[in-house]
Amino acid sequence: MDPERHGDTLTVRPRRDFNLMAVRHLKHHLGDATRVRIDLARAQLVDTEAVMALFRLQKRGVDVRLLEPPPIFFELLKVLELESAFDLERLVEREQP
Amino acid sequence: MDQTLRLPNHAQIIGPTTDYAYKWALNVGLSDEKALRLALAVDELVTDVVRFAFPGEDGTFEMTFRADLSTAEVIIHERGEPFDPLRHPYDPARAVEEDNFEGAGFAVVDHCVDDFAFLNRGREGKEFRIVQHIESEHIADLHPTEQPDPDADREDVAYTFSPVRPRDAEDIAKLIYRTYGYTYVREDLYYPERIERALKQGEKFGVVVRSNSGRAVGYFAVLQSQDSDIGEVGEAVVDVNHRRRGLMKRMLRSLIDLANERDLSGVYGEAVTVHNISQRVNHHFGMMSTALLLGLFPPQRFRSLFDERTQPITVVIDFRPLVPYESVTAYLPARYADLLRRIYAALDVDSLQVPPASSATPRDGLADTTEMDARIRYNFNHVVFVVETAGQDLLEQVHQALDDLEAENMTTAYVDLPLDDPDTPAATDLLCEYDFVFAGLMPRFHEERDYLRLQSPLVQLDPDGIEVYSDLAADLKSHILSELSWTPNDTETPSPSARGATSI
Repeated sequence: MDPERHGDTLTVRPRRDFNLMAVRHLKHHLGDATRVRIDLARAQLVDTEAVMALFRLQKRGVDVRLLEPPPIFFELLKVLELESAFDLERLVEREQP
Repeated sequence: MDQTLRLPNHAQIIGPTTDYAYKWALNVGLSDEKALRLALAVDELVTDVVRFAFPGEDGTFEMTFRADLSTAEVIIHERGEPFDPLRHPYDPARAVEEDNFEGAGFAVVDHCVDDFAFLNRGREGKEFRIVQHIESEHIADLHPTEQPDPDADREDVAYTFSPVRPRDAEDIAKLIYRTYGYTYVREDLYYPERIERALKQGEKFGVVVRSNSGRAVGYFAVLQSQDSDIGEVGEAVVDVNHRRRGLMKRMLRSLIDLANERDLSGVYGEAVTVHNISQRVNHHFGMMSTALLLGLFPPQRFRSLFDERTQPITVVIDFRPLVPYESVTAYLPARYADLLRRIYAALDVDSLQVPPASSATPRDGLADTTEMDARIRYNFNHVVFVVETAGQDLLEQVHQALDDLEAENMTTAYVDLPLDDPDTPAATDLLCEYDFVFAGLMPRFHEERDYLRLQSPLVQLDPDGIEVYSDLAADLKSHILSELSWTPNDTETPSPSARGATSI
């Protein structure tokens, strides 16, 4: 998971897919962080457990940012009709040129 | 060949299992995109088992990976808490407003795969089945036009017969397309890549005939059974310009020689009954009719050969032992004993030992639970339940599975019962009290054992569209129609009151 904590910001990098195990690790390291950055560069899959976790973090007021989510993440949001439940412009952090 | 993993309900196995599913899917021929979606579906289902099947306790479940040339199927079987996903549909509004995501995983599974079936196996637990169809390039897209046949009108054509090699795949696909258009029932033969893969993997072997010009004008292959040492003599084609020259018979002779060289214990044919040509060829080579399977294949028209019939296709199983039968012990259900004895006699069984009825298991002596494998042929709209142990809940399990498969529009359900098992007479009675009838003997069909096959057609067929050749096949047909109360010439209009029938 490779967690890094800087102040109120927790950055995690799942080594593989963003699934139930990754969600559990994320929760374990979350503590009182108010900002979470999840680097998904190594993830091929994001599943519903991950989507639920993102939804709940957002609901708790945690500022969540995703880096390089795989294409299937956006498809999942569409299938589950959750696109409007997230502010995707804000959620997905664009890499600086 | 099936690959089965037994796994604990630990979250740690989700990632490796998903990775395995992805790699396996690529290896059986799925594209990267479809393999990834299959892997996500596996992730969702395994996560569901891990989280909910065994609340608060350790449990195990099985994953079976099963593929043929056109489908990749993953079966997840667990014996945890009862649950029916159909009763828990996903609701996006409920998810957002109440933070209740029930059913979300199944909605994703349904989206990701081509077929998703849930089978409630009663006391045997639950099965989730996910299927991806393997895409390949159709021969019509690869080569939309072909050169004319230079040997078409010649009488003095010389032919060469040789074992099929992977590099013949494209010529075979062309031959099939040229001969049958889009109507050949075995769809894999339109895809050179699938033919090549089957040959390389040793799933089949065969003979190809070429004319003077080198053009492939005949092909005949044996498909090796995945769970027994027998093979199906199938995939037969002769170019229309080269018929009536004995090519089919010469190919079949070569095939039987090749099968003997490979130590197969028998070969069989699934001869269609829209005509009797294949049945006649089979019988010419010593095959005996052992079963009549109603509606085994979806409707096809046999272009330029015969009249157009559009009902599901019934086949005759013709079998020839290559290793002679010696002594056979078979618990023959009384209601079918005479027919089965005749079939065994036709197969030259030297010594048929039929234990007395008193040594068979009485109905109340059957185990509580049935163990069986449902082999769903999604492309062909039928399912075969291969019974390992018949239990009191056999009928219940079969019914439940058929209910669960309603969306798949099954045409026929078959049940295979091992004839060397003393439970078989009681299991037969159980099934025949519902809507199962005789289909016949499936010789050496699973693990080299003989099976009694029963069948339940789920649609009504026109008996006049079922043409059989041998006396034995005629008797099978007559017996089966009688059991079903189907009579020729009076079923033009499907009767909604027919046993278990729905119109198509």
